[in-house]
Amino acid sequence: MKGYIEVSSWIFVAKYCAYVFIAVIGMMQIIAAKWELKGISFFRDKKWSYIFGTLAIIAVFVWYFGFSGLNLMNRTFDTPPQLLWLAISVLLALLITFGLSSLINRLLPPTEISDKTQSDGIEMLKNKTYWQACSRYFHRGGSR
Amino acid sequence: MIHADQTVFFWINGLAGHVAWIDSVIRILSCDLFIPVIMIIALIAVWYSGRNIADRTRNQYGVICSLASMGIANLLVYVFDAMLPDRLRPFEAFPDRVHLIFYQPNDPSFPSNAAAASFALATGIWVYNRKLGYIFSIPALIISFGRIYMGVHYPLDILGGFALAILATGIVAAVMKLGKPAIEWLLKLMRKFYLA
Repeated sequence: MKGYIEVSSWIFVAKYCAYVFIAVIGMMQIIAAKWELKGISFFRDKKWSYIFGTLAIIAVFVWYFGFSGLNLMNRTFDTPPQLLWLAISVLLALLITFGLSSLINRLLPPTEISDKTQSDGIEMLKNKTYWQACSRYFHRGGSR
Repeated sequence: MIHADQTVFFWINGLAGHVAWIDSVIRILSCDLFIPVIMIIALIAVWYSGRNIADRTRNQYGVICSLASMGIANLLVYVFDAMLPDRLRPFEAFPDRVHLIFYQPNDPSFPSNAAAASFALATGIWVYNRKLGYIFSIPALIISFGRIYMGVHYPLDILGGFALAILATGIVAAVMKLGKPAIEWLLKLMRKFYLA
């Protein structure tokens, strides 16, 4: 039974969620820099997005496996709860990325994109924040 | 076959327990918390990647296939666990000979759930992007090797997991081919909300 003590611990779940959350936040910044999605970047200069993203991922892995008190000789998760918490953490990280980048970049000048192919889906986030893109969509009654 | 399986197992597991830091590294690399998370954040990167829309759409199909394959592979493992007689874990069958450097899982040894899930992520993406499929199979191979090294699976369990991953991907790929209009609709809907 000793091995199951950690499973029921909310602290263990919270640490796991924080670890996944920060790793995804970091990855989203690297994605924003790589594909020039300025609308979801926390930084104007993509160099800082790369640095922030890389450091966030490395730091959270070092923290989680080195300093969080994780003991891999104890049973951790069963598959279903692990997938559940993983999905929740990933979705939360995406929401926070979209929300925070919209706040940080709220002054990003909205650019009209004439080429239809360029404005399809996430391409829109090259020039607009997620909030601006969604507002534009809803103001036009659901059509681009 | 069982004899060969055990011979290979003892050869690999015999490497464990000699150098503490190597054991620690392999324990981290092969646990349920490291490589699965790496693979998931890599899939997020794949979802957003592509030089043009066609390229990105192909990658997004790969991500959908990959995640669905992992889900089906997990399900198949549960079905096989229920149907097949339980195979004892190596540390249960040979408690005096196995170097166990991991916690003691309490589910059957065959097939390996970790191998099935990680290979399903790799084979799922391989269907739509060969190069990425090969890249994703590297972490799957690491986690599989680590499970034998740590004394929790035999090589045959890993091969069983790999076979289930291929079966799961085959099922998912066939369903995705049949349900292509539904997937197109889903991606179109996600594009409307700037998510794909």
